Amino acid sequence: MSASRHGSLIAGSVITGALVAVAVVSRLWTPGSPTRLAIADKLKAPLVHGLLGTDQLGRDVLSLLMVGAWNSLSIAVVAVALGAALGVALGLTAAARGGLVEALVMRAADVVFAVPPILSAMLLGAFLGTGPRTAVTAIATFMVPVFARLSVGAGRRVLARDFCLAARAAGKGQLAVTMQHVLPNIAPQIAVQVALQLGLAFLTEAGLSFLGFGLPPPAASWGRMLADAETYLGVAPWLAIAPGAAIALAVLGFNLIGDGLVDLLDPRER
Amino acid sequence: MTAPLLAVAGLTRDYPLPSPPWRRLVHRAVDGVSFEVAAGSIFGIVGESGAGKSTLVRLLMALDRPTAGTVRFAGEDLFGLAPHDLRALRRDFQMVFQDPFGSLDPRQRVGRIVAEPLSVTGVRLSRAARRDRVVEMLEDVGLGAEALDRYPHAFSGGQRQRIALARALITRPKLVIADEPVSALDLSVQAQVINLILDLSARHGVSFVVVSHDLEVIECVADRVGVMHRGRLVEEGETAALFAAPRHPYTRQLFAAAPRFAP
Repeated sequence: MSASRHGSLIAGSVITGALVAVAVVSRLWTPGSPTRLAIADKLKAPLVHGLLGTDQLGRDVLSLLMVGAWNSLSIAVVAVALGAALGVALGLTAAARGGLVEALVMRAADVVFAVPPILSAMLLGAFLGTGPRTAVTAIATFMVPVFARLSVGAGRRVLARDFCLAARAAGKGQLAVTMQHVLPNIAPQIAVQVALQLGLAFLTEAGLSFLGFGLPPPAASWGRMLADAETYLGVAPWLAIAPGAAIALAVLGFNLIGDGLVDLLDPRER
Repeated sequence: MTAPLLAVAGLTRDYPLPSPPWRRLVHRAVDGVSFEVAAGSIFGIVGESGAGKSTLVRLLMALDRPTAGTVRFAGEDLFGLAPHDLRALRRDFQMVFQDPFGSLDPRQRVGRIVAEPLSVTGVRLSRAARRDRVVEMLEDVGLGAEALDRYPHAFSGGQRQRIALARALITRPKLVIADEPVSALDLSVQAQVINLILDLSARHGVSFVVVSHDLEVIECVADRVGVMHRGRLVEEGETAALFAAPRHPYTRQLFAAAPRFAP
């Protein structure tokens, strides 16, 4: 394994670790209140009032960012967990059954894949109203086909190997072979995809909030902070820079982990 | 004569080929194969690649269904059994694969790999009894208890094939079907594994069906030999007799083509 791959795994872990730490700390403590309005202190520059200044309503930007990290992270993690669980289950069923089942799962995946998540979130929002459930459902929906496709291909390759035939010869049923042999052998590939998809989920969540389909106010959200900052870009650019940089860093962190894991877990590289 | 342990009769397996709609084309991989294996004996099946050996093995293991014919194991028709009964019967016939690098799950420890047939065939054992049985089997094939917690990649090809044999024998089966058990191994290791098969067969009274393309391997291990050619069993007989005086033209051709070391 090359040193740079190792480096990207470490850098990614540091960034993501910091993000998780900030999100957890925000549950216990923030420098200011992310919801208390203080109009007298509005649009203060960084270091003049708080570390990152205040927004148009006088709220502490750092506190908003910290709470936003928790909100975005919980939506992204729940959405990816749901999408991965459902996608892998569907994909492995398709790989094990083959034939019509596989064709149906793959075509359904194509259809879901064709609808952009922003669009499905808008549709879902019309039925469910905006909120975390809409965001999670919309993001999870487009995660499912990604994991389904990955596990069909990888699962079929594992099923074709002799140890799966050996397990069947020993009397194991299809479910047992899938759970005990196929799943552990494709777990590394799933782990890589989870890391990459977490970054994508983060970005999508920010996009949904930016458009107003994410968490409703007053819940802090990086995407909406960015949307609000647009109006004040001339007088208070830090309002856009802070959440923008946070989103970029978070996505970068997950992608670096994914890239690093690819080679770390590739048995051919060992 | 007592009933044979394994009785194969008229076994045929067709694979559909891409066909025009007005007629159905098939590839007949196994064509009317019949033979019997007596309890405690080793039956060798020899043939060149593409002769249908692997398809035959899959049918004997009931991993695939035949187009026609029957496989009777200890009097039971494998393809007439209910799934539950077949599962229970699998305790008595196990398999060893050709490729010792592909047939052991790289993500499981040896202890679990060897114990796998125990857990699925309804043999109820306590944790400690199971472990003892695994260790006993590992020692039986020339490995030790230290192998238990290691992964397959820590072992050489020959050692892995020993692990595969331990796994196949752990349910104390009556028959083990070995598909090219030594052809992926170095020549020096081949002899060790062949001797191990002979030794295990003699000590435990296990029958083996050994499938190989290698005439010398078959001559070493088998009591009786069947020669396969294009899906058919063209000749069958006592190993010594068949090797001394092959009758079928294909068998003679096969013998003539094999490289021989001068005695």
